[in-house]
Amino acid sequence: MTSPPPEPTRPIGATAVRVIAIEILVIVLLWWAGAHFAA
Amino acid sequence: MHPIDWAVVGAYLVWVIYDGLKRTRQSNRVEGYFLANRSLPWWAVGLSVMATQMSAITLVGTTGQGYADGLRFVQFYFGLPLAMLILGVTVVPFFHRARVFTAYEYLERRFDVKTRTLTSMLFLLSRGMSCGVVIAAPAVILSIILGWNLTLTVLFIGLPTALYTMLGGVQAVTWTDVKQMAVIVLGVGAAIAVLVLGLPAEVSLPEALHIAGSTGRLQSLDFRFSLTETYTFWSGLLGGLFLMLSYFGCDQSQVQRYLTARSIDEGRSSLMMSAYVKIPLQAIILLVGVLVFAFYLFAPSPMLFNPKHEQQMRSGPAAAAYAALETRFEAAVATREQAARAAAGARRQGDLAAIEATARAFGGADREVAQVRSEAVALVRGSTGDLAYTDVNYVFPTFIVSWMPVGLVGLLIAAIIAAAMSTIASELNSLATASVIDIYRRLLRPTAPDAHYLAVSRFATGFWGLVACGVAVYASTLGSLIEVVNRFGSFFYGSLLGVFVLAIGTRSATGTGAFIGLICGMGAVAYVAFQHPAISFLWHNVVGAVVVTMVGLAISLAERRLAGDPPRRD
Repeated sequence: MTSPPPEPTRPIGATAVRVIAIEILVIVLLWWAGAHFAA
Repeated sequence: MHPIDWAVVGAYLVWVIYDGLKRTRQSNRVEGYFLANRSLPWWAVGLSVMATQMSAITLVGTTGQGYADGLRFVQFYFGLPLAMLILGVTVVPFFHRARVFTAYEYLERRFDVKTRTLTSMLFLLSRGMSCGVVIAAPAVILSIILGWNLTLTVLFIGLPTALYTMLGGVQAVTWTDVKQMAVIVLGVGAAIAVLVLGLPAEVSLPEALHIAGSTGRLQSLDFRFSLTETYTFWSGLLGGLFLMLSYFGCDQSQVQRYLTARSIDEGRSSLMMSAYVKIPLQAIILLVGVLVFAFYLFAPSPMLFNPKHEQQMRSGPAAAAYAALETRFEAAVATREQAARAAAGARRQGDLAAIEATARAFGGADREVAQVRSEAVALVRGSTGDLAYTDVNYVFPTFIVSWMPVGLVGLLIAAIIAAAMSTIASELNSLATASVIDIYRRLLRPTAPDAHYLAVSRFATGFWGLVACGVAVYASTLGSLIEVVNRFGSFFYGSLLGVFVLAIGTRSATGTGAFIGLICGMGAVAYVAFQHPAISFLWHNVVGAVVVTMVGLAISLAERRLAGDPPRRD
């Protein structure tokens, strides 16, 4: 496998937590909308 | 169309084409032409990623899906955010550091030239045909809704796009994508405003949403684990994850987007934009369809939304049967409107018993309308012989030309054309890149001045533009070809992902293992698709990726053992 020179990058951990948290929030909102407007 | 709407569409085309053409001077070397000298900011790349993925098929098909089925399709994208995170830590740094032009170029460094050539050729075949479909689908719809000549509509969409892409390269593609996303978002916003303001004065938006919600249209989550149900939480999360990994990680039309970013971090950020925004944006577009449903509860609704088929049925051999259905439809729609107004009134008064009773009555009336519509669709299928006929893709365009104010009709038509052009431009640019870098420069003419490759690149872009227009004109007469193209894509995507898993995720995989694994993966997907057609296509990507990885690893290990290589830890 090639070994290109490393370019410094920011850690992705915080981004991952944000992305997953926002997706969960959006899914919960979608669930709430379905339940609320079906009632 | 009104002259003002023509002026709006014309102004959009002039704006986009001029902006694309003025990038010509920035694209005077191959690296500038294909990769913008790796200099673009993350937000422009991110908008280009989104615009590339959102074609006109998304805009008219998804709204139609929202009208017919509600929000369930949003589950299709549940795997996307996780896919973006995985790609951010794998292919984005790998491709950036490798300084490649194409994803398949990396495969030669890792494996061998035959694996690179096979994957690139499969991409050219698959994407070349699908580019034609991306032009054909909106062209067919616009030609029917607006009465335009079909071939001219295809050329109207395809040729200007090919022109600015050919001359301006990826700079033109990206910066016009940014503008086209703005037009799309503006158009969707205008449609929502007209739909909400178009409700009767005595029916509020929450009341209208409750009425739509009583039909199940606002329930987006299906937690059943079913291999045959297309849109479920699990098929979206797992099957969708593999599809998004394949599409955004292995398809050159998307890979080339983030290769143009200034740095690995900016490449990652461009993908994170989709991770944050795609699901809410898709939910909003589906909601437009739901609002169209709510709007037509209180406004005159056509029985079939495809005006061409309406005319054919009214004047054809089944005219009497069709007329009888229209009479039933008018009565059913009137009953449904009364029931909807009663339901809204009961909710306004807060009378629980009345809310329940009126909701039941509305449900019954809506089911009758749906029943008549399905009989009308069955009549069309029987009369025309087109067993796959559906008018769902015509719902939103019909609403636009029937109910949007002058000027905004032009904006929405421009938005549909923008969605098509943004996808086409990215695809043409990536087709030219793979053709020149993977095939022409690598295999046919490895040494030539940069100016020569630049000229060939422009020629290749124009060539693929003409091919796409030709496929579009042909595809528009053959509905089944669209299905063939989509099926071929599904054979390819998951299997290609498997090749990249072998390339990036393992050390012991060899070129022969990857090559044979790819063929076996595509064969496995073909077996599942033809022998078990009930299994949702979203699972095909999982099958392809898993089979390629397992077969590829097995053959690689056997090859190394026969060659006497020491075992490597993966």
